[in-house]
Amino acid sequence: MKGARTLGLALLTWANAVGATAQAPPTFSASVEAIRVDVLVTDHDRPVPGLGADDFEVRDNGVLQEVAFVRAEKLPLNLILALDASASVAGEPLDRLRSAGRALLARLQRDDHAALVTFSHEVTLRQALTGDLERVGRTLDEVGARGETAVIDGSYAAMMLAEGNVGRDLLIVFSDGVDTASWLTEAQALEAARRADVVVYGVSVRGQDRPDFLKELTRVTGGSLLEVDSTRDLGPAFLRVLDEFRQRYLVSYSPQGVARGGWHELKVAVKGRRLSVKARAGYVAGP
Amino acid sequence: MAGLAASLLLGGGARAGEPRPAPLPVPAAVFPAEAISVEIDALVTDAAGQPVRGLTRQDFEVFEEGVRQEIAAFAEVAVPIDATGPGSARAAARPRDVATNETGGERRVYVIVLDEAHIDPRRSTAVRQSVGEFIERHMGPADVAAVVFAGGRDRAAELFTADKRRLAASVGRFAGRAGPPPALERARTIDHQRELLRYGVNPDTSALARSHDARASLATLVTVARWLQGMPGRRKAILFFSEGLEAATFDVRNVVGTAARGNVAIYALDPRGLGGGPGSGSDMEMAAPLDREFGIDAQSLERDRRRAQTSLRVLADETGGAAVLDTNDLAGAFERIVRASSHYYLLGYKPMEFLPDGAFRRVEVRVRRPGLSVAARKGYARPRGGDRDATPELAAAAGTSAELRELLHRPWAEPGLTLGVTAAAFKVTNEKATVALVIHVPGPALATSGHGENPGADGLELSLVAVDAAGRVHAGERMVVGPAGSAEAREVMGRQGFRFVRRLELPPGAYQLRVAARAGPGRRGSVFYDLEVPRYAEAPLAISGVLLTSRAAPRTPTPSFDAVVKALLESPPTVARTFAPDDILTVYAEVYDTLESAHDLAVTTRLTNEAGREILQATDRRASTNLQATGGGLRYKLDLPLAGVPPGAYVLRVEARPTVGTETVARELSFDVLPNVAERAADVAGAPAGASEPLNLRPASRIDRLTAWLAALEGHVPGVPDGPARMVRSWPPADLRELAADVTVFQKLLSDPKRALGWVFDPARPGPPRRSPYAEAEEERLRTMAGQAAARCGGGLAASRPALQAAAECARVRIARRGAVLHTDAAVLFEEDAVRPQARGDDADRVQVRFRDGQQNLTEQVAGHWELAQVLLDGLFAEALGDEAVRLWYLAAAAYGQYHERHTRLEDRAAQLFPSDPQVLFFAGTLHETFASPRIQRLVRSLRLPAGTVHAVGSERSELRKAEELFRRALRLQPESAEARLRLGRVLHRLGAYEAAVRELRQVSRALSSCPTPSDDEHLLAYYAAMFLGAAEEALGRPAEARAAYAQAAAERPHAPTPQLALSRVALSGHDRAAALAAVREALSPSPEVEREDPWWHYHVVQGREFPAALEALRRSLEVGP
Repeated sequence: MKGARTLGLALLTWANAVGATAQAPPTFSASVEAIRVDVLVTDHDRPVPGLGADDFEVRDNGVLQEVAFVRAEKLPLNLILALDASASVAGEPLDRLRSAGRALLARLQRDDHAALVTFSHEVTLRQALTGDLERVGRTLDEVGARGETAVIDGSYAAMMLAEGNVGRDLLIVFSDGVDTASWLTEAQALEAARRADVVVYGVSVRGQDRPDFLKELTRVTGGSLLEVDSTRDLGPAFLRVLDEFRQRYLVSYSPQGVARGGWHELKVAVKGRRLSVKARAGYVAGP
Repeated sequence: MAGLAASLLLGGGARAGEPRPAPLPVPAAVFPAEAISVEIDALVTDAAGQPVRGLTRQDFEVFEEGVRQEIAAFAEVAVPIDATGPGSARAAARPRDVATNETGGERRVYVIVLDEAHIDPRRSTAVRQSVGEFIERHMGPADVAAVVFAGGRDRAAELFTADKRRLAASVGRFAGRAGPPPALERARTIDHQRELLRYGVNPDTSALARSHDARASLATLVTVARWLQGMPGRRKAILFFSEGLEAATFDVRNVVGTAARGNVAIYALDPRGLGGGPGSGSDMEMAAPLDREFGIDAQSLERDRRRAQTSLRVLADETGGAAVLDTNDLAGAFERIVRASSHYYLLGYKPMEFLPDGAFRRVEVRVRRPGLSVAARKGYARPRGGDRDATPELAAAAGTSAELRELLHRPWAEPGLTLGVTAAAFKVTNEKATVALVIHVPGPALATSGHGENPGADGLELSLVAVDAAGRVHAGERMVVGPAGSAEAREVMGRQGFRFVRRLELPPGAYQLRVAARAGPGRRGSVFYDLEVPRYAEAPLAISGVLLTSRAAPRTPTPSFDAVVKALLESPPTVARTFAPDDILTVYAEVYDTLESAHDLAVTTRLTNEAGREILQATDRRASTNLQATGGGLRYKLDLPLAGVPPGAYVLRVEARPTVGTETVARELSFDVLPNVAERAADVAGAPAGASEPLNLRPASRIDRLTAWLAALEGHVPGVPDGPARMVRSWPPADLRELAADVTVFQKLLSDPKRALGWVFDPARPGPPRRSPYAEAEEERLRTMAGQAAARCGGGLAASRPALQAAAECARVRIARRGAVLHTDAAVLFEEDAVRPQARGDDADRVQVRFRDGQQNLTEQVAGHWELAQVLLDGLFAEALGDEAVRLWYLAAAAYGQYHERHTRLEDRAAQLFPSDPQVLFFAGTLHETFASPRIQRLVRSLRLPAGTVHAVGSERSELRKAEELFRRALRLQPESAEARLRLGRVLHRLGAYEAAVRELRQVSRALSSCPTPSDDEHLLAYYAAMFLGAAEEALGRPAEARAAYAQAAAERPHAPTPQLALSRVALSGHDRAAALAAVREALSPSPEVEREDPWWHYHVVQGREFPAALEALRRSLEVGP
């Protein structure tokens, strides 16, 4: 079971990866390892249901792979909220952020879990992953806003925490501004994202600064960035992310004919149809 | 774009209400009451008995039942002990009718428990005097106390108050009612006891009564201790005046347990030492013959005394207080009590194990340093279910937020959002009075609310209740003011604040009017006003409270002005008790005269100065027959122009005297008259506490302003936020620019008083000279002033020409030095002002950008104090002053500016002036390094500036290059500067010169590790060096070296999260996900309550950390003689 937390190295029976502990570096063993890719298929922005393994075409470093398995049913969801709690969200924006978070939690289902990370100049784990969603909501209500913004450090930490859980991991990062305080660089966090098995959605407020980092982070992980005009729109944006995420497919294959280590570029398409497919740009396999 | 304002001025990362970079290296103490369950205060004294300051958590050990506990919360408390000299006594004696919470965060809390059942009636007077002395001489102005009678008829007497007169009045009602000591009582009734013994009855018939009285007194102590339990986070002292009681151990334990649970120290004071009754040592004779059969002998009284005192000793010893027995030196005891309540350490912990409820837990506090003594309570009782003592929450007006309810419920007022309150009771019917209540929230309080730059943006919620002495609420109201809509409204609000004039109907009695308000997140405060509503029905002659208004009062917006009060006084009454000399006051009071015989009634207003001299008197006479139509009520109103009233403190007395009888009724209040504006600067600081309307300190003309400024130079005390500094602080930027031009002219006139002034040069606006702005008379005034200034330096009319020159030079130096200090202080000693938005007609080249959390907040006018100080030192008078003062000014300005992120680029100018000064070059380097930082680079990319304005921040690379050059120059002059080398290493890294960076940073690390006993500062630099070295090694692809460096940083700061984050990233790149995850978990703050500290968060400002010392060095260098 080791390596189940690492992108692409999960066993086909990923749903049983309870208590996985990645004590040793992941290794590639063609007989048991599989890559799983979280894929969103849309037709004019509307998710396309009912696809099976035969419908997908996956290329790993340009080599066509045989898709073994596609799951579309509802696996338990692990939602990690990484929220900007810096001084710029103080006041009404924070109230709206709390409401939006509450609305999102209310939409989660019975076996879903949630965690809450906030970042100002400091990254705080407010609530580790738990099925007690009301508790997460209460914790959210206690969040205050102060200090600078370390969105890079916050995203990195949340990505690290997101892995190794039962079910599918969804990380939503909200920030209303640019990074002013991180230690890690954008490149370092993106490098970590390439190694992570988590889909990151970003939500930012359209303003004077371009959210370049969040845009790239979501692209690399196969998520997307939603820019809202005002924090008033946070609630609908969060719910849209959740709805979209629930309609994604998990496509799995055992890599064939590709080198073991390094960066693997992924191309996922739906055979014979002009549909929009969103999936992570690739993955990093062990050395 | 020219002159001193040519650069973009970037300002304001840290403002009031926002997290400032924490003072390095130790952050402020945190005392999270929620995270602990046992709170203990520890008094630590040295061998001389003096309190020991500055201990840290590590200096203490706490043991519970012998098991060492982890101290989860720690704070040092130091409440200043106020001198109670004659001056303060005089100040205290001034009648105050306004309450404010401007001060009061640091206070001592006392409950004075007077044990009626156990104090001999003959010592009542001595006790009253003694307690009165404590209140008068030992309580500071912010301290609060409550007086409670124990074991008697009337238990709880008062609410907490700081009003000494009210406390003294409560104490005045005390009368002891203890019977004689048991031995004496039995000796007196010996025959009766013999009779009882014959029938087998316990002859000690008073034992039951004594036991009952003891229980009653102890029950009062338990009630008080439970009451105090709800007030965590401070030491509370009960002063228990009692001659001791015969109590069961269980009852005493119950008191001790309850007191200890609430962190309450009991001081037991036995008044027998004061003399005046039996058992005092002077009155030991027995009233009846000895009787050994009944155990009554010569030592009986002494035994009684000791037995009674035992309970006092236990109460005191077990609660960390003290027993004051057998002494008449209560003054010394009072001093000890005050001292113990002033300097102590609060230790909080969560017991590691739990015993059943009610169990008593032994606690021991030890100090690790030798030679110190520690006094702390010795245990606590875990509460039983029934012991949980939450007092029912106070009722408040409907809709009051939980935050304000909580403030109203607290026993004393809380500072924070400043409030001022006054109230006056008027008769309505014989049973009821109406109370006019005036509440003022000053503008500056709102301006520093959650949106510091946007006063009133959060609106205001205000709630009030009237609470009687028993804690019952009689009336309450809630008011809400919505957020200010327009910029103009916000500007008025930020300057003047709000006033509310309300009216409450209350029956006669003593009340505490509690007002709480909040203006945005974290900005809240409360003020308590003690009010006596008289029984007007019972007095044939009575006077109401007095309301005061002034011509300036309507300037303050009054969103709620009660219609009845408005009908009586057209202008809203004010809480201001400081008035400008050109103001006109209006006094309003009512007199109720129901005397039966026909008479005249004279109502007189007297104004008396501090020396007791009457300055003004006005009398109004009415015939009683004229009052019949109004049921004897007279509405008295008097206009009082202050013109001609010299500046100073006054008592205003309104007095009603009928021509029959000798009775007089009167009310008094006090206020201050300010000097006129030129003199005012020096005196504002001396204005007494009390809410005041915002002062308009802006002089009417340029010459008036220059006059006021020259007076301010003389009046300002360096480093003190006094009146002169406050005055110049209030002047808008345009005024300071004009002032700079006026000072230029003035300094020329100093050298040559006859110089023609047709054209003048404006130092802040280089270019051709401009036509003189002064009228002929103003020019004359300028020349006279210049002559006077020179004369102060010895250049009189009869002086020789060289002497005149020397005097002029002396005056120039004096002005430059004092001016530079004044404006530097004006810039640094006050909280951030409300914004001065850029206005039409303002110069576009004198703007600064405030930014917060990486986003541009607004563009505003530069206040101009740093600039004026720079003009004075570096422009007009540089030659006269010499280099050192100028250099020190630049260093102080750079350190302060960089620490507070107010970047003015004066460092570049300093580097031009002092190209061989390593410190100056260092600060110039750090400025450019800051400009190259992602935060500033991102900001300038999206900066919106007024048309015609450009910023002077270069590209990241060009700024880094400049920084590199400056650091290298600094290091050539001072190669041993670890900090300059550290910065150079970081800059080289950012320029991509990783190997060079590693070389520099390794050199820093080596130098620092060779220190045998590194200072805090060296540890700090070692942390940075290790972090940056790790980053450079990582960039070079050397993970092992990077890991080692980050580990070194983690060792320097074990609780800092950034090294862990860096270690995580190194582990991840080496595919060690487990280690990466473990390090991330370390990096994540476990809880928002746990304050973590990481020097990385302050790297961009840490170079300015020594700014207080730099400012002090500057002030010292600019010191001038009288």
